[in-house]
Parts: sequence; structure tokens; C-alpha cells
Amino acid sequence: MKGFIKKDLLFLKGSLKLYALICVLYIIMVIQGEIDISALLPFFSMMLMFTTFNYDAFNNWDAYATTLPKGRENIVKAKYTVTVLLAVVVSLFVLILGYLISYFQKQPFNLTESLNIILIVNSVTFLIESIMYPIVYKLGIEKARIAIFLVVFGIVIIAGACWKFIDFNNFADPSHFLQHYGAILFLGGALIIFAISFWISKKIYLKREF
Amino acid sequence: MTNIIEIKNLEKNYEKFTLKIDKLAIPKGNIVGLIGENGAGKTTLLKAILKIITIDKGTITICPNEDIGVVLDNIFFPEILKVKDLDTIMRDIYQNWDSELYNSYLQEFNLPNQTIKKLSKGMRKKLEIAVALSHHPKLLILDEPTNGLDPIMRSEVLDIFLKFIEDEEHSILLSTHITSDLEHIADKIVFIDKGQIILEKTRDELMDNYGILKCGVDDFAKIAKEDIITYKKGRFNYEILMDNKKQKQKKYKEFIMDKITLEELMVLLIKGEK
Repeated sequence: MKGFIKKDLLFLKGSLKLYALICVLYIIMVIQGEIDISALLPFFSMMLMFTTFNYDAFNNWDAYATTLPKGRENIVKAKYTVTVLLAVVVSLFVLILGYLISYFQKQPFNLTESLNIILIVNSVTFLIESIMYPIVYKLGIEKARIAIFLVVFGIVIIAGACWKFIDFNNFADPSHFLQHYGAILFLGGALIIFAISFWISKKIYLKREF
Repeated sequence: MTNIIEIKNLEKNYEKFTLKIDKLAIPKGNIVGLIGENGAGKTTLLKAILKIITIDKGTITICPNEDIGVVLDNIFFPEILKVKDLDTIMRDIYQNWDSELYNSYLQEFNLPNQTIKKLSKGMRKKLEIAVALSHHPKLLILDEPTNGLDPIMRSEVLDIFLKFIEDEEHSILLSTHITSDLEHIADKIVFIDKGQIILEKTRDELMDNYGILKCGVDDFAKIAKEDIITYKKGRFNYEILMDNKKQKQKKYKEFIMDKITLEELMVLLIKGEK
């Protein structure tokens, strides 16, 4: 599996310049107070993971990879592992960046709030990836494009609807619950779904023809 | 002699195409060439052997993936990777990956450490061959391995294949449109048409047995129908595919019996009239 992980990491390394450029743009936006960087970078990482699928498809990599020792099993395992690794690295990066920006702006850095945002954003990206990866493995990235749009759009609509129609004041001590356990529980749930998604993707990929 | 690949009663069905191979064996120490026109089923057969596609019926017995080196047409690593990245990746995929050997192929093939995107088609093909050979495989499965290479490079690559086969445990199964390559290196030729093997013989058997009899338009009537496998009518003459070349040459002394090339054999078998 290590070889397949390295392949994706080397691909991501090749995209570092683009990533750095986007980071600079985000930092400028954060300094101007227009956007919260902790929410956007994990989403960008998710898009980066989808581009690895794009590159794989463009060169018919999967057909070649299935001929390698333990190819089919390890390809899927590696993709899910790299997704988690990237999420961890980007989250740490966002935390450090957030702290540095606060430091230079001479403003207090709220670690709990930043952590909560990062955990929730990562949970949402894991959920999107959990739904999308099996679809991509089943249909291929080209045909799955519309599904990607629909899933992202659907999740945003559901999240928006929840925000608008659910009165969080009805929950007993909601601030306490959300601040202390909500994000962690959300991430835990997302990771369980992510693990189920891996199992489904593996089943699909073992039978897929190229 | 044992076989490195054995196929029995293979069937793979698509909506408008069926690959049906009753029996095919690739012996150790042999180079076996697959020929046939586009869409005949060569790549489908290779993909079935490599388990890139599933089969509907039959069995394929083959050595483990660890022992197979693969070159597939238009299928390779993502273009954003660099040539040396493949060494980093492959050493964790193949147990027998030999970085030193890989680097020696890169030198031999004059491959610079650039992104794959920047390599020409021929250079990419050389890179694919270098990767296929660098884990000491016992079997090479190659789909159009010399496609895009200039004649000098093609000759060098064919020499590498011949050197590879010097070890009698090694074998090569390759599909190619450049049939002249097979005339130089193949021990056995497998001719596929419409998903089925229509001819499977050693190269020497083919070259010794088949010939093209050339005769004028008016002389065509003198040729016995049972002696004609297929024929092609030209503007001024007929080209007739015959087997038992020596015997037929004696029978039709007044006409010229030419040696046949694999390309001519392929064209006459598929496109010739009967």
C-alpha cells in the first residue's frame, strides 16, 4: 500500500505551488476579515483529492495499477489513507496559520473555537468523500462529476435548512453540548461513515473493469 | 516444456463482441506474438489475462503479479509525476524492485528526470518498458510495446526482449501492429480475428508453409480452387495465399511463389476474397 500512498503524495507535492498560491489568497482574505480560512482549506483539500482521481482517470492509471501486486485492494486503501493524512496535515496547518495570523494581528487566538470549526468542516468533507468515493469507483470520475455537484449542493442545502428551521434554543443547554461534544461526535460519526464507505468502495473496485 | 500462461474455454461477452478462446498456452522461454486487426480482441485478451477485466467463462492460469512486467497501450502513471518518482513508488510495490537496474535503463534509454507530461510518446514508451523490466519479472505482457519508437530504438528494445528471453524461465506475450518486429523475435504467432484464434503456429511454420502465388488476370482460371486459401485481385495481377508452399510451387511452376510476410498473411486472411 505504501507505494500507492506515495504516488498520491507525490502528486500532491506536484500541486504544492497551486496550494501555496491559494493559501496566500486566503491569508489576504483572512487579514481583510472577509473569510475564515479554517473553513475553506479543508474543502480545498477535498477538491485536491478529487483531482487525484482526475489524473488517475486521464492516464488510465487504474487499469495499470490493477496489474501490480495486490493492486486492487491497496489502491482503495491508499486513497482513503491519503484522504485522512491530508485532512490531518491541513488541519494542523490551518491551526498554526490561524495562530500566526492572530499573533501578528495582536488578537487573542481562540483554540477551542478554531478546533471546533476544523472538526466540523473536516466532518462535512469526510461525509462528502464518503458518499462520493464509492460513486467515483463505480462510475469513474467523468460520469461522477454531476453526482459530485449534486452531493455538495445537497449537503449545503441540508445544512442551510437545518440552520434556518431548527431552533437550537430548544435544546437543553445547547451551547454547552455543542461546544464540548458536538464537533467530536460529528467527526466520530463522519469517520464511521467514512469507514463504511471504504468497505463499499473496496467491494466495488474489486469487481470493476477497466 | 511447461507453460507460464494457460487459458481454457475462455469467454468474455460484450453487447456486440465476444472473445472466445478455447485453448491457448504460452510456453516458458518463448516470445508469443498476438496479431490481428483493430478490434479483433487482442487487448481484451491481454486485459483478461491480467485480470483488468473479469471473464464470463473458463480459466486462466498465470504466475503471480509480482512476476509480471506490463506495458499497456495508453495506460500508465499520472503525467504530473517525474521519471525518478516511479522508482520511489515502485520500490514499495514490487518486492524485487531493483533501483539500480531501473536507473541503468534510464541511462540506456536516455530518459531525463522530467515530468512524464514533458516526455515524447516514444520516451514514455521507453519509460514503460524500463518500469516493466526493473523488478526482474518472469513474464512480460506487452500491448504495442514498440509503438511510437523510431527504428533504431525499436531495434534496441527488441534486442532487450531477446536478451530477456535468454533465461528459459522467461516468456513474453506481446500484441503489436508492427508485424515485422514479430518476424524478428517471435517464436510463435497467434492470429486473432473477431474474438477467436484463427491461426496459431510457430513463426517458422508460418514462414515455411505459407506463400503468395502471383499470376496474371488471365491465368487466374488455371489455379485450382482447392489450392486457394484467399486471394486479392490487383489491377494487373492476382495475389493468391497458399499453404504447402513448396508443393504448390512445384505444381504451378510457371508462376512466381513469393515469401510471405506476417503483414501480407494478416491482410490476405482477413481481407482476402475466398
